[in-house]
Amino acid sequence: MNPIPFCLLLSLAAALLVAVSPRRFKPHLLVVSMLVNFSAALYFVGGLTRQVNYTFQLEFNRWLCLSFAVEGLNTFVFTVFSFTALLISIYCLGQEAWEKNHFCASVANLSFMVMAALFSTNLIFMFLFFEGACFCAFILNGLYSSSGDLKFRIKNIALSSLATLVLIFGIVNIYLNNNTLQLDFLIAKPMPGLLALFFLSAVLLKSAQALHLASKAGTAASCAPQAAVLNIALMTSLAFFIVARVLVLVFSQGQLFFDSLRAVSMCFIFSAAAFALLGSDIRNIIGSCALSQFGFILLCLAGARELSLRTAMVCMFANALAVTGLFLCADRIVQRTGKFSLREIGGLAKFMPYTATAFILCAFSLIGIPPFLGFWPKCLNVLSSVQQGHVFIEVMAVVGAFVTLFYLMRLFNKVFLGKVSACIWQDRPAPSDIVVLFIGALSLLSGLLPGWTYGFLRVFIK
Amino acid sequence: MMKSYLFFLAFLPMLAASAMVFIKPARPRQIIAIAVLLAAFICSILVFIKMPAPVSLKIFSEYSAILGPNRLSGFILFFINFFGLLTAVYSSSYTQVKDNRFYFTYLVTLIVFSNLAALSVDFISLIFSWGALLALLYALLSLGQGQSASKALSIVGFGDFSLLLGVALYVLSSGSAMMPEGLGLALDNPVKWASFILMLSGAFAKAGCMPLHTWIPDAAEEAPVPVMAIFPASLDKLLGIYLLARISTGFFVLNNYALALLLLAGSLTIIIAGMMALIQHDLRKLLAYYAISQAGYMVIGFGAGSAIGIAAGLFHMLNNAVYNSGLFLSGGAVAQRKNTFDLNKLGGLAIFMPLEFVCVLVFSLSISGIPPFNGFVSKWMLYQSMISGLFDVKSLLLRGVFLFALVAAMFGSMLTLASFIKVLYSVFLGQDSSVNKQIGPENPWRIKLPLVVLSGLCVVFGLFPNLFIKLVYEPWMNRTISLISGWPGVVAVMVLFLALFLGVVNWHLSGRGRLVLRRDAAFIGGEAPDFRTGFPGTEFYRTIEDGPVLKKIYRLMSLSGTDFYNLIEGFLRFVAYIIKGITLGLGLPFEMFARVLTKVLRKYGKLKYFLPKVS
Repeated sequence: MNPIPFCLLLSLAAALLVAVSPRRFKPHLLVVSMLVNFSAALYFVGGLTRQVNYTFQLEFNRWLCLSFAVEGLNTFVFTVFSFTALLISIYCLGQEAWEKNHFCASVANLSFMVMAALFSTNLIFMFLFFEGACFCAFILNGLYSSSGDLKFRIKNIALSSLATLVLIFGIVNIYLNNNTLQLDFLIAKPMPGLLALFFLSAVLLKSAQALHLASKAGTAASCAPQAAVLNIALMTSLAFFIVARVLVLVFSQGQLFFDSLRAVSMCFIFSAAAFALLGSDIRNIIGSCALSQFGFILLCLAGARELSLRTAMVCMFANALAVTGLFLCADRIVQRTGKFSLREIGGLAKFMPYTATAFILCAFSLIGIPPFLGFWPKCLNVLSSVQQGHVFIEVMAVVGAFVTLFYLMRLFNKVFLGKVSACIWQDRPAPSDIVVLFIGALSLLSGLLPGWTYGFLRVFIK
Repeated sequence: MMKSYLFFLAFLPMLAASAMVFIKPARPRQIIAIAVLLAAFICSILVFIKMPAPVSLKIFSEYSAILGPNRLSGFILFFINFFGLLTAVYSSSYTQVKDNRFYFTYLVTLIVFSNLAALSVDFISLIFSWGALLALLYALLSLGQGQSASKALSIVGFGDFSLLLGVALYVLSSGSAMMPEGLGLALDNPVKWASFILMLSGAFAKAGCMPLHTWIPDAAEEAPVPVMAIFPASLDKLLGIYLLARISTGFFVLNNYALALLLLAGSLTIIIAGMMALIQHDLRKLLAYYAISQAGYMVIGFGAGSAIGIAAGLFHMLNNAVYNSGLFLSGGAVAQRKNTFDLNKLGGLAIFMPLEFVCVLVFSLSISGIPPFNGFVSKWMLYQSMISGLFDVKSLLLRGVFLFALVAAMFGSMLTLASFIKVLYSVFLGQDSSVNKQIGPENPWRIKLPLVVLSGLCVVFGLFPNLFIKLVYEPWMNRTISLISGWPGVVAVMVLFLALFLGVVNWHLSGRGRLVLRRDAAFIGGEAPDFRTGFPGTEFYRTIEDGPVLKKIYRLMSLSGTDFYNLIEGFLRFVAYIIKGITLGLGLPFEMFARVLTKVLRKYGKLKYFLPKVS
């Protein structure tokens, strides 16, 4: 039996089960659903280790062909996504209150969409599943359940629709130029530089919009785990995958594209860092931080070599863990104090030592301080890019990493140190604390043993 | 061979450090920490003696770490483990840290990464272990209140990121990721200059030189004393100056401009930190300023560029690590009994803590450069290198800088002596002016032993400086040096012991077989007090502090705007406002579109169909 449709159907069934089940069972079923996805990912990893190629194809007509394939990059991204989503779902056990925004059902559906988009080898289906994931993200953001902050949401819809139009235009253009939308047949085909740039901008715009909305200060519906899911699903998984797989690996790109990619990554790093540096809302700062760190992943991809891709994959894994950890820590803080603003919180380290420890571990990994995992991609990227002659860009990247240190330490200082302004009771290691501590410890361990992390990547890159 | 040494220097301590987190009682944690650090110390002695060949450890397919000693790094390794062991022994009795669940884990891990930094042969392993020390600095400083830890992280982090960038540019210029041992690159283009300045920032931040020093006084106020003794006082100096030595002797060939830069940076560090130390009322802060000031001496040693200058810089690094950590540990010993570091609340402790008093006296005389202690020898070598530079160099500008550095070094020694007269008077002599005159129980031997060992080293290195010069410096640099005036070590020892013996005989013959409190006229720093009830040590040099020009300078230096951390923060926020403005400006068309559409939807009442309210 072909495992690809089986796993996809299983994931869809689990998502539907979460959607129709009674509210109090939903968090538990969400864990089961995520476990199913993670098991599927492990099964695919096993296949890759045994060098078995799983493919599935269902042809409707000449240009519409539903095809899926298990390859190195998509399996890696799906493994990271499903693992992180599993951790988030465990964290969310007992959070029935979020169901008013259809939290569990949306996350389960989103996971299915991400899985389908990742394994799809036809551009039109990849696009459709990506749109489906964005739609789930909108539902998750409470787009249809709150009229607060209307102007912001309309802006969001406008931008997202524009990006969709650009993507459709891009796909049509690709079809007209190459007479196929199957990725296998598009390998090494040239792509006009401007089209590649539009494609890149549209993908990033759609992904970043959802995360920005989720972490927007003052948005009534936003909560930190939801932002963590959106970050891992749309930014770290889908946006990374589409840029790496479609734009960098499949099509033959010119120097203009890679230079533009570097410029875009700089825009991400610094514009998001500026918002993080000046922000006063925990979710907003971490959301901006996640966007800023995505710039570093793009910068690694811009190296356009095998080492760059491997570095980008490690960077993606480190970011997925660390940003998720930070969002979950933010949620712990908000749950305990009921406050989002830095001006109202302080001195929490005394009351929440486990959360403070997890926060600092994740922050160190994100900044790129050794011996945490985040150090290796940043260090190797700087060294290899400078060798390629991109001195100015790497100087700016190092400045960006330093700015990350500055705003994350500012956040830590304001929230966990200083004068105690809000908190009521002593911290005890709850299941949610164990999850955030586990994420922090994993960032440290995988950084201490980079040989294992890079060895693990060998399964995915041949 | 090197692999078996690495087992004891890195792997075993790391394993023990991880295990210690799960051990609840404090005593086993202390014993394990001391045992593994003792093993590492013995191993470091073997490494220094045998000099095993470097070993390559495959980390992942693209990168193998290469670790191995040379004569200098082997010596640094020996002292890293020596200070680690002494600090662990001391900490096992120091109230503030002995029961802390994570302290010994951090301490042992700190020694592991310091060992790796010293043994690094390639740049990546240097950056990795160097950066890991940053995380440990933060963890150890966080054992205090934690606010200063973030400042330290930001400033030292700035240095570490600079080092990373400097290394990247160096690799671009040299084409190799290995740390060069022989002749380095000439500073003949902007990329090499940038690399030099960035690497220098990394070394300066670690060693605590100006302007990257401001975290040290703040940390001193909050962090436990053993942390200050192991970090800014010893390990940071050993590693920071070790890197500076590699930069100035192996990575680059320094030209006149680079030498002048080092001389100016070192001189300013000496004078400004010395002046700031003079007016401190908190013992820890005063010592912290001297940890900074002494780094200036080391930097001007390298700025001299001559063999004797480099030897002086390195020897001063070692001497400073010995007496500065001794001073911090002595401060901790005082605080154990009086529960304060405030010089206003201390006094007359010599009778209660005679051993500690003698040790502090030795450390104070050493740091002030008084013979026959170690500080004198290294400062003497520094003066010699400055005078040689003054006559040898042809550039008039550089001669001026040498003269300035010489004056700064001598003036710095005067400031140091003046400050430590104040310290000795305030803490051990004079009168206890505190309201609560209670004193805690006598310090256990584990507190006293490190002080005795370190003060003994001050004497040994003072009497036998050739131990360092012949065993370490000359084999490493492959050249010989000679002092202007020879130092008769054996004769000096004999004279010293004779003087001590005569002193003890005199003391017994005078009928005082025991310590008694004696009231006598005391030298009070040249001040003329107008009150008779006592004269606190903190009033020393008040006339300097209140002087018409110096008062303004002191006020300027204490402004937050002159702090590097605040300057960087202000600059980043300014740039962030500009970037945020540009980003929001680019989104303006969509903002306008959304505003218009919202108005239309609200006006025609169709909103509920699109966005129905749900509670």
